[in-house]
Amino acid sequence: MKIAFVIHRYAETIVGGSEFHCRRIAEELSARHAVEVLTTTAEDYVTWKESFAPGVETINGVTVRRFKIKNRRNLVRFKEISDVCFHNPAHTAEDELEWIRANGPESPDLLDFIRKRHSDYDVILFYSYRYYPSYFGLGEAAGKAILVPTAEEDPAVYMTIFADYFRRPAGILFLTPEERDLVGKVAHGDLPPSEVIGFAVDIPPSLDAEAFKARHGLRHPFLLYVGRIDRNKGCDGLFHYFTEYSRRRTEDVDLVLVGTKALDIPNHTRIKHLGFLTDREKFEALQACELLIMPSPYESLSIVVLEAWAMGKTTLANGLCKVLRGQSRRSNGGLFFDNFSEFCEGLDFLLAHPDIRAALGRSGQAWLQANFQWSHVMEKIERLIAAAIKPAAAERSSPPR
Amino acid sequence: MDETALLDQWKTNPRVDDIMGYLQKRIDDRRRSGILYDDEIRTELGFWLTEVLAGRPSGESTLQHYLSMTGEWRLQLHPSLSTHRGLIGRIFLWIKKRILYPPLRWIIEQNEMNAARQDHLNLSLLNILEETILENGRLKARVARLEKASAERTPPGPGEPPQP
Repeated sequence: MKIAFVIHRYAETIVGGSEFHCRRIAEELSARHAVEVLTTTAEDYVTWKESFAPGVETINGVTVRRFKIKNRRNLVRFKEISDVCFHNPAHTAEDELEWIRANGPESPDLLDFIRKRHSDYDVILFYSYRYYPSYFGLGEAAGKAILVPTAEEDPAVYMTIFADYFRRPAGILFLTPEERDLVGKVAHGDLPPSEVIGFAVDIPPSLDAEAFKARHGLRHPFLLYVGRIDRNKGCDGLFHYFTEYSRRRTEDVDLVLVGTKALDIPNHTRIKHLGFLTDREKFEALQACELLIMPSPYESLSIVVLEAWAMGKTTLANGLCKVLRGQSRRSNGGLFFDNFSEFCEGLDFLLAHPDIRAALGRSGQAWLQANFQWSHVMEKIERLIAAAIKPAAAERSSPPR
Repeated sequence: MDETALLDQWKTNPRVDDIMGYLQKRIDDRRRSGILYDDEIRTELGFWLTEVLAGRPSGESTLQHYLSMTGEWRLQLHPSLSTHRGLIGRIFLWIKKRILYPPLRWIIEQNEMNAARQDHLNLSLLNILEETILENGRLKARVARLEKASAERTPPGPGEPPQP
């Protein structure tokens, strides 16, 4: 089978989010199918600045076709149209389409390629419903389109244009049951066939947590945050809660941050920012920490939470995010908090009971091993393709009666 | 099952729902005894107030957050241009958006700035209102506690048995 992936940006250097999910699924599928990725020349998710040349390259055995971008993202325009779409109840469908164009990355060449060449592929997977390539591209190949929405419960998903859009693909791959429920709630009518696939974690061999701690001068036990240090990821709340928690408690515990900074980090003796780390170092940080903190209010799937459980570490997550709450409850792998009282109580409990902390980590690990091996994920994808695409293809090729 | 037995059980078989229930009970106990509760609410409020004053785009105040109010009370900072007149209407809309709107933009931006200041002020006032509501709640609770303590200290009347 020949499979194409359509995604707004694609690079080996992107190690999180929907882009990482897409890359790993593409790489795993390439072992059994001919896989190509159709993407843009951008790497920067804020401006869509061109970082790669248009053309064809190969990344980890997968052919990647890059198409140039018409315009970089105009941040002023994007903020304006976001305010209109999210705060003005009288906004129109045209405003929402304008929001998709302003969100970008706008690549008419990529759309043109899908329009002319979609018959070269048996199935096309479109990643992330909110971006220009997936929103407009899916309409060009709806009969063989599988959508991977990566939808979060933020204002964008409630825009009216998506109510019909979510019904257009031949099938949908969801990352969690909560995401399936959310998309089902906003879509007008029944959804196409779908599967909930999650994600499988690959742990690098021979990790050395002690060497990692020595390298970064980490002398105290620490809580770990991994991801973009950003308001949208709940980091401002985490800083506020942690500084207040440290002021009231005497526990000898630091907060270590791993990831690129898009928000000022408080100058606090117990908060340490290590910057961007390699994949190996990220896993060493997970091995070395007491627990992982995940404060994000919007997630369609938190890969780093799965990675923490894969390492046998427990998590303390934002319970206002239905996905994180659902994952924690299903796996019995971690606790969650809705407010400062619960944050303090949860942290006190986990730090005071190392045996229970370890048991929660083991429970998360066992749940991951039972449900989210690559074989499980691939089996579900193949099953959906068989259910959604092959009947549609057979219908197209059957002679008219 | 007593607390020690529960904790022992969770060392081998942790149940997240049960642990969260246990933590919630501890928080409720502290609330009932008044330990730290005001302080924690203040921290929560402080967080929301900081967010509001930082001009977060979603701009939710604590009051709005807790009361689940709709956004209808918000100022409309952008002109709303829409039509129900089909093609002709869309042409007029295009003229308004692309030809009339740009030169008038500097005036609109001037108004927008003032409206944004008003919006900011509204949100700050909502937070002050919240503080007043909370203070009122704390005072009521204190009065109730004092009244209860006072009633317990009142000596028994003639013919009444002494209180235990």
